[in-house]
Amino acid sequence: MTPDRLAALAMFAVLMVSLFWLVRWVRQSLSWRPVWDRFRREPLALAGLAFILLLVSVAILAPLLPLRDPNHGYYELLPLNGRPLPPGATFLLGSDANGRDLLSRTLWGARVSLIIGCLANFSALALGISLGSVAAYFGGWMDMVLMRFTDIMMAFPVVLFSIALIGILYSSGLHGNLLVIAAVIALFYWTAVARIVRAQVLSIKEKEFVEAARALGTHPIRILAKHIFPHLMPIIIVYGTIGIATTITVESILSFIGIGVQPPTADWGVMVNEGVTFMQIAPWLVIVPGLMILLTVLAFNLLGDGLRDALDPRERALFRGAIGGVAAGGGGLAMGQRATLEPGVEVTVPGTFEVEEASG
Amino acid sequence: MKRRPTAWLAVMAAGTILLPACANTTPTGGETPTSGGTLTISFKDDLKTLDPAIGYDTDSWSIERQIYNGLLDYDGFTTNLKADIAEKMPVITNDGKTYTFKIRKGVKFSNGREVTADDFKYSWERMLDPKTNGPMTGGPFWGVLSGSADFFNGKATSISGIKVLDPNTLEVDLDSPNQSFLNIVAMPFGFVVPKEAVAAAGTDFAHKPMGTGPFVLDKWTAGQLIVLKKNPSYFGTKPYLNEVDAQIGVTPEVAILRMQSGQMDLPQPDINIPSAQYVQLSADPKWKNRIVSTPNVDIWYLAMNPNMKPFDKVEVRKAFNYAINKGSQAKILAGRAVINNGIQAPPMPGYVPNYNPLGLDANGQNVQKAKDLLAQAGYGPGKPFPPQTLVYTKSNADADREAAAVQQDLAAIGVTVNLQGLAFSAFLDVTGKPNTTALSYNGWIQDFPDPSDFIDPILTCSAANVTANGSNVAFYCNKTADALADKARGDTNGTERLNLYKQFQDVVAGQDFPWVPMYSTVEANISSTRVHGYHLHPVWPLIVTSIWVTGAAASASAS
Repeated sequence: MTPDRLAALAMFAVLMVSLFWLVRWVRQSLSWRPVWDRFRREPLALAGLAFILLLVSVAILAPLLPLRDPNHGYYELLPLNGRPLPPGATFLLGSDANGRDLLSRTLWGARVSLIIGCLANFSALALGISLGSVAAYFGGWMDMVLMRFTDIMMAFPVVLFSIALIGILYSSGLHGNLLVIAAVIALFYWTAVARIVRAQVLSIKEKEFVEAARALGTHPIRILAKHIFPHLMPIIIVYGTIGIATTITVESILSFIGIGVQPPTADWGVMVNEGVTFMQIAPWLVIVPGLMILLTVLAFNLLGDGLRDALDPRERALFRGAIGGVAAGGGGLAMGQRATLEPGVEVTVPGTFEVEEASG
Repeated sequence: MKRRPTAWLAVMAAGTILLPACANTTPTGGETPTSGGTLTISFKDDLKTLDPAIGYDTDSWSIERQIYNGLLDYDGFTTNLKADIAEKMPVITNDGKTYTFKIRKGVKFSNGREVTADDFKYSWERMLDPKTNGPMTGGPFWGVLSGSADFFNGKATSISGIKVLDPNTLEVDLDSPNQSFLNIVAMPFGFVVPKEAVAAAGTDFAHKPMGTGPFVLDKWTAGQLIVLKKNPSYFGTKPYLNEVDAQIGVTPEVAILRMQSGQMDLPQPDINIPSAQYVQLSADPKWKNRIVSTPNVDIWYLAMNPNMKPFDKVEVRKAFNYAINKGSQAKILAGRAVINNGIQAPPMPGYVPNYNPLGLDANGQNVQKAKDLLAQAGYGPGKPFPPQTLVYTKSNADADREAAAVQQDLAAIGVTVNLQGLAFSAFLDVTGKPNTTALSYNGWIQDFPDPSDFIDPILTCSAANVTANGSNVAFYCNKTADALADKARGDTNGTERLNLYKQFQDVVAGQDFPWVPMYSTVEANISSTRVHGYHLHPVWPLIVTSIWVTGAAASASAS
């Protein structure tokens, strides 16, 4: 067994075990149990979750699956005029014009998209949460500077700026590097997170338990980390999920226009790009990777939506349909922290009381 | 043609093979030509110039050919030369070193003035003048003219080898006999231009051209549209068309879509139909009969620089010759390529059909031999082959895929190759500098249909002995082979000359291996159902004079 196969197997095992323990813990936790119960009744979210789990498993296990080499061109199987083979016995999903197996490329492409999507998303979250909460908590000139910087970053058109940035990186040979692409996407995406986190922290920091902590002389960083951060969990969970949909979309766009992942690496955006010229004679070259992008983004959005509803039933009742996403800002929030100093934590349906306080 | 990125066109030289599946003529159904109407064609990029002293690309030549004439031209759609502004073919004396041209009477520039021998002396000296700064300055092709060296280095103000004996007689003296001189005269660089129009245009003759041709430039809106109108004072057979509109900024793909919806007559004439669309159109009963195709006079090859490690070992270069699957390359080009193991293109005199000195299989491969040779050269598990970079130009749609297939073939013999795709101008810079690029993917397309054009500029020592802008990209130099080329250049015995060129090919493709020759392409173009009499020419990218159109005007363009 080769090292990459072993690594794949190990990763898969770790994923399965941690999933098992996560579900177990959630079901036993007093404060999370209701969320779990509500989530279980969201069929669309469950479907999204199932698709994502399947996709992640396939992506991790790709080296172990009986697939052709995604980057090898089986020219000998193509007709003399090089016409791509349609889906059939030779290639289940057809081949591209280089005689490469579309099924294999699609599944290996899931790896690239998920890695970049998750990396970009988590870095954006980390950056957005730190800057957003620091700005809100300390206020004053720091808030001013950080938020104007955020505004400036938001004002840049993402794609155009990425083109410029990657153009600069081109000469250094760093273009096409997965980490670099993830970093470029994160560089833009964190701004949205920062704004929402700031709005959240602004309301939380006025709470009595924060004031109490401050009165005890707790270090501000500790207050942020121990007392405020747990209240941000719902946002982080929801944004962490829906954000992946966004980052995967941006990654596919960048790769499609040729500045993201570089050919011949199997990546959905790259595959759509390569397939476009052959669209009239081999539509599957565009349909298959395009559908994968669509389904993946949809799945993450459905899951994110379901999680938001589960985390905050009140908001669902109030806002469902009126507002897509979680952008409701200062309203609904919160549950989950296993009480340090906060008053009223004994509430077993977390979230509701926070909403009442925030809106009251 | 210099190293052009996109496949060019060319038919057969007289008496050589024509692929049976190819037709270079649109079926006309025996209709009678009708006069009038407008032909709409397209170009992806704006033309660089319409000054025949400057233009050295197929886009410019497509239009220049309609505006100007030279002393000689190709007869119909063959590679045989005939007199054009010359009254008849020149008289050659002095052991092939003196050519005497008689100028036809009554040939007029479109301003009405008659062409004389002085105009040719002026036009040629202008074209070669370092101040004009054209591609022929300094000696390519025309350096054979007596006195040109003094003219280039400023010692003389005119070229002594170009003499006007009387207004209708031009004498040209060469330093040494050159069998391809008449082909050189027929190139667009030999076109005649009126002195007064050049002076009136100031520095912008490129955009205000004037010649003797069947059409005159009516309008050129930069980046949008070029309009040619019929020249009423043209001395030859008048064209059928009243007008040619060239839409600029239209990619070949879009041009073909426009043609299918009736808005375009002739999608970019000097570029092959993009592969994906070729596969589609050639299977479409409505369009497959509108495709005209013919073998190109070109050769596509990997150049390996024998002066650079690890290609200094002949075993390595030979191993690469066994490694490349040329059949894959042909499939990438939608089957429009003929596997070629030599250095001459199929339609060229001197081409040896089925040339195969290494005994390669049908795909041009023998992978086991390649591995054996690398082992002989000392590479193996203990000493892996150093990673190489393959430099190629991204300027045509299939280039990335072609380079990737080469990468895959070389990986199969244990050679790691990184791909470096460059824009065409950057590619020319990098590959033209001596001993800078070890491995590159190149194409060579004819300037004129003579085998010397596939040897002198790309495989001789003098072509390797440059400081920049070289076209011998392998920087290959073998004195023995050079002697063969020198001998052949002025050889008046046709059979013996071709034999010398065949010997040259044996040295390059059977002994020294500076190249991996891969394939020669087949040109395929398409026209709308309005177009009649459209043929592919062996040398010119576009001939408009044989075309007539029927039915409603195609274009929705502003004209």
